[in-house]
Amino acid sequence: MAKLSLEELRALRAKESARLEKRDIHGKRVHVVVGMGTCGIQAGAKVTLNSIVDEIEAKGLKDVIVTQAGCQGRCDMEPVVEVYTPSLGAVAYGKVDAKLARRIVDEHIVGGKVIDDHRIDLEG
Amino acid sequence: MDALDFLFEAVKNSLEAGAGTVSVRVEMDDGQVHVTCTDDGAWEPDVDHFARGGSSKGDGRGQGLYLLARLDRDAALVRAGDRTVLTYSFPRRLMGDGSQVYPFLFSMCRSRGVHLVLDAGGRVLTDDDMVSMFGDLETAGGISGMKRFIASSIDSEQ
Repeated sequence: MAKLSLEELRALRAKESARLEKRDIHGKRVHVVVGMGTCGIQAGAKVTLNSIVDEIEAKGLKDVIVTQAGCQGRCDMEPVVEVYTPSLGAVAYGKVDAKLARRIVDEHIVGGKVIDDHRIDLEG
Repeated sequence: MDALDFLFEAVKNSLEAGAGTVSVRVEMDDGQVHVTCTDDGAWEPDVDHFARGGSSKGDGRGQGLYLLARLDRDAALVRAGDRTVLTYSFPRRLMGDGSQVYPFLFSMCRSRGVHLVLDAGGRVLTDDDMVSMFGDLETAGGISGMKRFIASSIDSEQ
């Protein structure tokens, strides 16, 4: 394998530095998934989804992905939010209103702590 | 649920039908909001799309159009050539806030490589337009940018 030249190494480092700069939450990307099936929307998931985006923006967090999912089989617990972080893995929360949405951003995504009293099991 | 909430359902159905392009038009007249969602995805001819559970996609599905038909008896889903067209109307007071809905439609479509054309509030916007203005449409920053833009450019006109 051909060795990289000094210029190529510098270019790679600059590219990687720029990429790492964007990853300012536990050093990795964070993915938030909001259930937006009919059951979720009827339970208020649109407010939840917008609250999460607004809070992430207000906190100035970079590189957080927010996507939507359909019904995940827990209609009784809608709105349902799943959060994926490298340090905590996948954690699901149920009955997420605007207030809890803000707590999820503050305590889970920023603080790195699971909010146990609202955690649900999506397998159940 | 308001008129625009059903767009989450409509666009999701279009994506599941394998659409390459989804077009959404929102128009006003005489105190009504008229919504049209057109896609070039596949059509299921032998399905009552408005029946409760009238979906071939599994248990718990087929609720959205059933609910829509209960709120607008004139809601229609037809095949026109190689396009599937959903139309429905609501009283204008039940329209909803575009900035709370449209950004997520762009995000949802773009993440699946599907083009979205939105015609609302006297503007026509595409997912490419949004990417050129706000970058990655799946990030909270991209979505927030779209929310602000739509609130000032579309919602303010309707």
